[in-house]
Amino acid sequence: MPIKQVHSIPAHVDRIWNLAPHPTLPLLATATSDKSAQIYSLNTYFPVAQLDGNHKRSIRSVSWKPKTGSNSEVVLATASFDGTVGIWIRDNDRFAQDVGSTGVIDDNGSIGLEEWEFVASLEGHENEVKCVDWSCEGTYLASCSRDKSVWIWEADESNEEFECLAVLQDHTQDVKHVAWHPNEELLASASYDDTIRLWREDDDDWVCSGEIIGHRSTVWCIDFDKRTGEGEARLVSCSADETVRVWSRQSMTGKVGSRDFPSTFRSDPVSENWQQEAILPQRHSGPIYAVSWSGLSGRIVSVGADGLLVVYHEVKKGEWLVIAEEEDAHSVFEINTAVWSKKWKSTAPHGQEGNAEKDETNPDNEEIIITGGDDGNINIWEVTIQK
Amino acid sequence: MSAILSAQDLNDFIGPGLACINPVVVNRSDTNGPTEIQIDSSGNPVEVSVDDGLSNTTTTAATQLTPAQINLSDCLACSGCITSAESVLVSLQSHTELLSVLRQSRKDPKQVFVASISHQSRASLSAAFNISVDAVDAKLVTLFRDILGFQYLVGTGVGRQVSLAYSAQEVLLKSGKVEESNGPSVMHKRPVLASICPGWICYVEKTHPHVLPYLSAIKSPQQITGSLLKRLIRDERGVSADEIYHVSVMPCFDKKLEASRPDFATGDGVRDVDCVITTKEVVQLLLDENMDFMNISEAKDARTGGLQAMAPKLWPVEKSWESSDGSSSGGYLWHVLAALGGEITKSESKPTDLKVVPGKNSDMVEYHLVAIDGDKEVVVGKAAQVYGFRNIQNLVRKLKTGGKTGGRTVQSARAKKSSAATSTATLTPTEYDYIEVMACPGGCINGGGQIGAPTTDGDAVGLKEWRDMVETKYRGMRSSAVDRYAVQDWAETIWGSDIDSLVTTSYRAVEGFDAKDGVPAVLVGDKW
Repeated sequence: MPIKQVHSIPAHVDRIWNLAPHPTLPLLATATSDKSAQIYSLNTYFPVAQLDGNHKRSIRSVSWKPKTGSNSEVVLATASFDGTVGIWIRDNDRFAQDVGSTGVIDDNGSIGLEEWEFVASLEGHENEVKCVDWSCEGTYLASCSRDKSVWIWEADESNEEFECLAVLQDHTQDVKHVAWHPNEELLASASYDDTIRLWREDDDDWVCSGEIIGHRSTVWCIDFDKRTGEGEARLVSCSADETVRVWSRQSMTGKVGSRDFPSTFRSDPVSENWQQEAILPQRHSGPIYAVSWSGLSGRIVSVGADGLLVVYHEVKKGEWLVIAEEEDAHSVFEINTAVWSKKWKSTAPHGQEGNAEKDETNPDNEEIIITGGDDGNINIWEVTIQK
Repeated sequence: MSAILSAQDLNDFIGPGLACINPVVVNRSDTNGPTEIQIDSSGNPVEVSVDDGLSNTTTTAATQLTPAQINLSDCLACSGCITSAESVLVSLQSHTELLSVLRQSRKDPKQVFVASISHQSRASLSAAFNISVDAVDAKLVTLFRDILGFQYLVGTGVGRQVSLAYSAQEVLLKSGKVEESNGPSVMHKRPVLASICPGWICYVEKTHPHVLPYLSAIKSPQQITGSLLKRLIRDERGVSADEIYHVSVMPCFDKKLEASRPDFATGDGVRDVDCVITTKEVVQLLLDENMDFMNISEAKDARTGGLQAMAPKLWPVEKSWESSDGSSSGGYLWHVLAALGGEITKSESKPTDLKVVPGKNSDMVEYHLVAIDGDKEVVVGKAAQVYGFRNIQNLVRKLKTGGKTGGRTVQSARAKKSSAATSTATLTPTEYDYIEVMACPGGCINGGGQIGAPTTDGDAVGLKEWRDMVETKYRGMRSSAVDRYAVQDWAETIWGSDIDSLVTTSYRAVEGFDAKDGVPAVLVGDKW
């Protein structure tokens, strides 16, 4: 198979629920059922911090706040089955220096653990919080829960005080996943009610602007296409119905952003129409727990209960091929999470770095897939297409 | 126009939680040895003793099993849902229940039927049928007097005036602006939070007991109206209180919950309000009887003695139909600040003014009471309207932490940057004297029991536009000022010295099943 495992980190004794690489730093966060989150360096694959002692139950999901504009802090949100969302900030005076730069590897592995501070606990959900995600600009934080609701929070500059902007209760079942659009303030949520809903701000209220019906069972995970043009939107979803589907937005009414005239004169509510663009080639037998859409190569990866890892490539719009497949990617264990990341650590054998043909346009040399499963391992993969 | 009542229509904005987790108490006896549950030939569940080989029983007695039932009291005592199970509410206090009580009463002509109508319900009917509020009132006279055979019909204005007057006094006492006199004796923390929204009360009692000490102790217009009506009608008719059946028409399903609170019943089970029906249930009731609200006639005598004749003799009839200044949720904040301003003007002889500071969204508005001293304006009181679940979330969180979201104290390295002065208000509960809290976005005028926007082609109206139309109808109602002292004098004359029993109530934490074992309840069939 044109995919190889380049590294494996025996990270946790308990299962790994979720993994999140930082959008701009070589950091990887894990969410585990041992009530902690760990931070790994993607330069060294060594742990640099352990965030524990604050959540009372499993951490289900982690999300990094994008570093934009004046926001210089490294901020992580953790969603826990204890019903809260935790906000953690790295102490900028005391963090492992190698993490910020590239290539400096401390060979003895005893990297001084970073200092992280637990700065806020967001209470409000009635029970298990399943997912958190920061919006593209880091303005909003979305969370969703078994209580069927999706919440939108806004942080102050210090990331310590949060205001609840919306409590969205349109889903009729457990909400599994939330994801923000890469450049619009558009939120998508996926649920045990088999639907995906879209949310945007209308006047001063967040409203359900669209609903995607098609999956025949729980929608476990969704991810937006990060390479779409202005005004366009596509997303990929995976489900317990054993399919991975791509949806695209056909039209939008009640154009938001136009504040020229008050809403009383705008009788058209904000709404968008989404259509199924493709069902990706079906490979999985069992619930598919995670999908990730690469911003670099445009490829999609999916993993699930069957232990299979599948990589898809879009040959032309709406037409997808499987280009790589790996069975038992976490031996006999279920795989809960898969995510594309920039490749920070060179994997070329020593002495060959100079000889390797440099092809800047070949994403295989620039991106990796990171997976986490019930075995508590983090596996790192590279797609190696031979042309 | 369709206003069919169904569980899906119930959109009180603090939604119910998951499924009902109220454990059903089973009275079992172990005398028959082990049993198992079977389904008999006609599909009914039966409990059958199992011969375990040890006992000598040879007959296998089958006991018919009855379905477990959850009643309203169970719901009120349970923390499972945030509000109660809708189906329970709808079956126990509904227009069908009312119709069956009315039919029963034909056998017992002694029973006296009394209705009280909220202002918001009249505005909703007025907007839905595109007629004036006066026309609505005249139709209501026909409906309740001539069609349903009620002896009494009043607006909830009098109960509201009493509620407003004592609410204002309560805040004045709290802020130290007036001396304790013979007013209601209440103790709580600042800010005072309005307690007339039953959805909000239920939410606090079940999930945020730390907020309880802030709640206003003053009863809602619905309950005060009920107490007064039963007292006056009992006396003037010479009937016993349990022969009076009081129906209240409300914009809100959770008012049914409020009416069912044990605090609002006497020891012998006589309730201030026997049945609450929502505005849309009034419409549905007529449809069920093959009538249409639009087609029932307007009582010609409504304004010429009709309404007068339908009220108890000591009832201030005009006031009971008139509205009051301030928000369409009853104007609590407005009256509290007006009273505060009145006291300041009296003691410091400075005129006062009210400044509106919009918040982040339309359901969060701050009001500043300023005393005018020459060309200077000094803020002497602050209050806020906090409507809708999202804003309530921020309120309860800030009351819990005293402003901070949580976490450890912040190190100086990350000292807070002073944010640029903004024109919008951020919620700062500790600075307020009073907060008008309502669970529904838009407040009571947008209650879950109100008639929805027309949806048929051609007539379709957006939700926000519809809310504005109903609000406009409400604003168009005649309103009268609340003379706090006159209202209190009237109430004390009617009620006597024990005014606390008319105007105050109390709240208590409802302990969850979760809280006892520290593990959230997991339901059968739940999936992560």
